[in-house]
Amino acid sequence: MKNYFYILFFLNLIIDTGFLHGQAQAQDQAKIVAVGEASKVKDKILFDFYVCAKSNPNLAVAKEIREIMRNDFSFYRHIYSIFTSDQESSFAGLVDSKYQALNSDQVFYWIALTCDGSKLNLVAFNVRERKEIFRQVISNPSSDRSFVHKLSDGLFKAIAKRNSVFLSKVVFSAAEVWGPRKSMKEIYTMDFDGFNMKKITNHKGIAISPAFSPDNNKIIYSLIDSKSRIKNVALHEFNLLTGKSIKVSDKVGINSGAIYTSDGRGVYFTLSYRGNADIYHLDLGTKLERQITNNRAEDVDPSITSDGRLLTFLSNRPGNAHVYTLNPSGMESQVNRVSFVGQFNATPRFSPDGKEIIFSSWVDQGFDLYRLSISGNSLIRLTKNFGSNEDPSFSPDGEFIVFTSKRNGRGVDPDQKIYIMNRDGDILGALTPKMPLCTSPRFSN
Amino acid sequence: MIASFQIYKGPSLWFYIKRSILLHCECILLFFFITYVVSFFFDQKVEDMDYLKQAVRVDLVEMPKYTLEELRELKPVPAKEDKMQETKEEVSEEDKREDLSKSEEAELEDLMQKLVKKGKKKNEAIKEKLEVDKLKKEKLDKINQLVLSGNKILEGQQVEGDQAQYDLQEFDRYVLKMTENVRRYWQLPSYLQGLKVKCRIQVYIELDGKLRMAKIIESSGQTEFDERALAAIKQATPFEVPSEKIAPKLLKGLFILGFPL
Repeated sequence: MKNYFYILFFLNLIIDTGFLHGQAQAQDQAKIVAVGEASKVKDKILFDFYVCAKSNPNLAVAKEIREIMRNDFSFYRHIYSIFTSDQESSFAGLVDSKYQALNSDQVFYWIALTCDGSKLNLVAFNVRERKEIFRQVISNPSSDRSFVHKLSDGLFKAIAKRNSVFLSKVVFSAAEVWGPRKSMKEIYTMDFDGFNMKKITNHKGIAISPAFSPDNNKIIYSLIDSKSRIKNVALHEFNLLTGKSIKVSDKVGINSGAIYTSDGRGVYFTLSYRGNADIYHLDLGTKLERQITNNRAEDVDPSITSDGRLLTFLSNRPGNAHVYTLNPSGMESQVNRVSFVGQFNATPRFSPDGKEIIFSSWVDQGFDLYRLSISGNSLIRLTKNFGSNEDPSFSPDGEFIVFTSKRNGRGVDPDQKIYIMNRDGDILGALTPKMPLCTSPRFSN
Repeated sequence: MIASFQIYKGPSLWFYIKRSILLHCECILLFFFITYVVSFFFDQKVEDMDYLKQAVRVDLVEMPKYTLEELRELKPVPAKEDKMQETKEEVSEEDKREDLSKSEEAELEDLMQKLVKKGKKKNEAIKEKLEVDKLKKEKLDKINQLVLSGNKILEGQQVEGDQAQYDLQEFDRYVLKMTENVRRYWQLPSYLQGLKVKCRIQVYIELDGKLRMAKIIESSGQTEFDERALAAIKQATPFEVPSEKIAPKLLKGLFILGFPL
């Protein structure tokens, strides 16, 4: 009897304890909330400049090099804060004392350009880790912009551990500046910063919608030839190595909006010879064409991811123009509508990682640029209030966007110029301030 | 053989029942005491915690009105308490000046009446100002919410998120709102961004929304990472004044911020 009651008591005790503990736990259960990934604090870069003697013959060149490099890095002002200083002392033996003077809270990277006889040294230090991260001896100092962009790119890779935009080029179409051919448009290329502009075609027609090949050696574009009797939009390819242009497609109607496939062997473009604008694939070797979209609506403006697995295009299937994606390996394969708002959307372009699409949309009497995740969950406005902003294109590193805008023009129809902004919509400036009627800028790969 | 039976001569059944009840009571009291001591001296175990996830309703019905840059430039509304204090001081100074310009007894009554009228006017002006400020604050808060919730226009019907909790409890809503404020100050330099580490901080909030204590319960192993997480919480303070219903939970530190998870 005694044992029975003790057993009963302990059973009850266990049950009660469990119950009370559970109740206490339910009442006092703490909630964990994820704050998420941190945003990035700007890294501070100090550009120092040391001279051995003011009479050094490379002094002027060294200053120009530093100025171009500082300008290059200023494009990444959303990531880096750039400071410059002119040190008139010798660089030799200064590293240790400089480390003492610098604090990683103030400066993360210290870049020093030093004169050494007829040579220049470009050295970069990680102040926090107190180590040299980059060194290049410049035997024949030159302020040639392409050369300095390569220096900047090497430096950027050492700091950011990824490719920069400094070696990228932009291809675009622009009208002649003056004279009887003012209504004509030709294809031009320039560096990412707007310098080194080159006119590459001379058709005396209207050349539009250019795009680089994956190896950046060719440019595909459309041409309305003023000399031809047949007034169509033909597709041409310009070889930058040979300087020659060949006609790729000349079917009746539209042959335009072409982009290269990821392997560069073919192009995706819009053809309308069957009466309706659809997207096709053309093998540049065999000249065989394959239809990609097949719909009563008009499908135009293809853009493809770097791995070639997903293609985005514009279609008026729902009534007004919206952004779609599909698998380009088949016809009408895995078609997915991505945009659901906007009166009229245009020129969808993939980001290099294929996760986002940038496009323009008609709002309040003009186009503005928007960034959309391919899942459709995130839609971000990038431009507002300043003219019409169109034709966006991502830089190969995904950090910048070139686009056309009439933001600073005067009168009823201001000039359309090419601008560059970072991926969050911070406008960095005009790349073609003196060129009229610029359209379709595209970054190289 | 005659079977012999031994009669039970021990304590009665009632004796054991009473003893059992007494022991039960003692054990329950002991349990409460131990629970209290343990919760007071030891940190909460991670496995005892519940993850609070936010379900976001997203229906895009028109293009976003604000650019990303505009949304980032929006700043929290400054506190109005200091301004109120200044206004009060101004009133007293003006009163002093008026007081000096008039004779002491003859105009005392007149002065009192004027002061009453003036006080009423001032109060009305202050009330109006407060109402305008309140409206402005509400408007800015709404815009700030837009910033934090991704430039949405309407609440929507479609549900996105790991845990579709439409009707979050008041405590959960407060915690999520507070976390969004902390997120705005959560920044890391490049050399700490690539690290696959996490830091968890238990947050205790006073009844007036001020930070009582922020305790690291799981360190990332990187001092600077932990310090920046703590700094983000401190910069986001003071938080909204919690309601009486949820204040005790916040005071007890019943939520933990995970940086990043």
